[in-house]
Amino acid sequence: MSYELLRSGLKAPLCITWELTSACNLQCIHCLSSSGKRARGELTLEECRSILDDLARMKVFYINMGGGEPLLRSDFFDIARYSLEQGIDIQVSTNGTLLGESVVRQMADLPGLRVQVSLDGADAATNDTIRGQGSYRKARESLELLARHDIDFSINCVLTQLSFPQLDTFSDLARSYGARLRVSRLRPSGRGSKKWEQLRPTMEQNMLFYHWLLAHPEVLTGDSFFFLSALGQELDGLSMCGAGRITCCLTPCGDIYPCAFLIWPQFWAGNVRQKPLSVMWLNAPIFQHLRLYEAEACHGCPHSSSCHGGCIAAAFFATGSLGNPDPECVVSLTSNERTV
Amino acid sequence: MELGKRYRLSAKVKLRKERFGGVIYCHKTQRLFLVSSLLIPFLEADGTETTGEIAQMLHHEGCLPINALGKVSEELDRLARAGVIDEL
Repeated sequence: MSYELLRSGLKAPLCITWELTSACNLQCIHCLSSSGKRARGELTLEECRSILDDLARMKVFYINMGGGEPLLRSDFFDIARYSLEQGIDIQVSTNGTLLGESVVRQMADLPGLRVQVSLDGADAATNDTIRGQGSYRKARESLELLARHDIDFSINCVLTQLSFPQLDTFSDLARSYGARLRVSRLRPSGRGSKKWEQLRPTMEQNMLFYHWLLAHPEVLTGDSFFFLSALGQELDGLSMCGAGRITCCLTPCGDIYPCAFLIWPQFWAGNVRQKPLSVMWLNAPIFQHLRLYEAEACHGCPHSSSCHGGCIAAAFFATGSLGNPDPECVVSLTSNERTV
Repeated sequence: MELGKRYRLSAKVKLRKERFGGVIYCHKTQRLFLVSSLLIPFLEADGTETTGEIAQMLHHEGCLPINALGKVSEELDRLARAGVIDEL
């Protein structure tokens, strides 16, 4: 996909990540948003509707609704229904612990809503080490329910040292439900920053994963592994960071950031209570900055046209500075090809 | 280019115009496609006119050089193969 067409940013986001609430009934050790308690001053239903009107005018295609656990909002279905009525599709990311029969029936009544259930181990021992005791069993029960109601869903697994050896099992599990597998990248954001060194895949695992992805084009990644394209053949999808270019993140209290992994004062674009997202998207200095951004350390690297410097959030939180290369840069870790 | 074909965006596919042409998102496959501005009239016609009729109109308006017809045809084929547009 052409980098040059997208790097200066689209006229509106294609999708946004909307963290509906900070409340969560789990305490996953790698949670990117350090969720747990509900934040004070979360957006009201009325405010959510007004935001959705703005998104509809911008022709945003879809929203990744997450949190926290989005189903802990009692008005979740009001928000979801209103979004779909405005023509904006939804992908709801849930931990799968609250998907009873009644919830799943309501989901089944909403065409355009897709569900993503998080599972970070293909067995209880692995998953529950990360997501908490009993979470595997509940998530598996939810997968059964979703499949029984013929709902479009995927299993989302964060790639870690622990989950890497289980990828084939994950793939088989998703297929057994007629669902898709999505593998996401671990970032050193939120609680993930404390577990980053312990959980992140080894260099060898990342390189093997690149080949595994090439052999499994049906697996979704949210384009989060584009940094691995420096190894050779480009992976499917977007080959660059989409933060502030094709996507952004809306937090429970209305703050806008370039991406869910870049929630930090330096990257704040504004708050929707003061200014509509449609205005911020065009004018916020941080978005304009990111649309011109290139990692300084990657200048002169022969592979930079493949990975475009990798993930900004990983670089920023792992090294404390923008301008550094992605800390998992496969080129700098495997050879000394950089010609700076 | 097969001039008699009519195409319509598939179900669960959305198109938005951009500076360079447009972006297409397929909700079913979760894939994103970028298309040039030459393609937009063919996609917006929504199956009401054949590709030949659209091409002729655009050519009369000076918006479609003859030598671009092959590229348009290739792009429409690519989108059809990807399930983004359906031939009626």
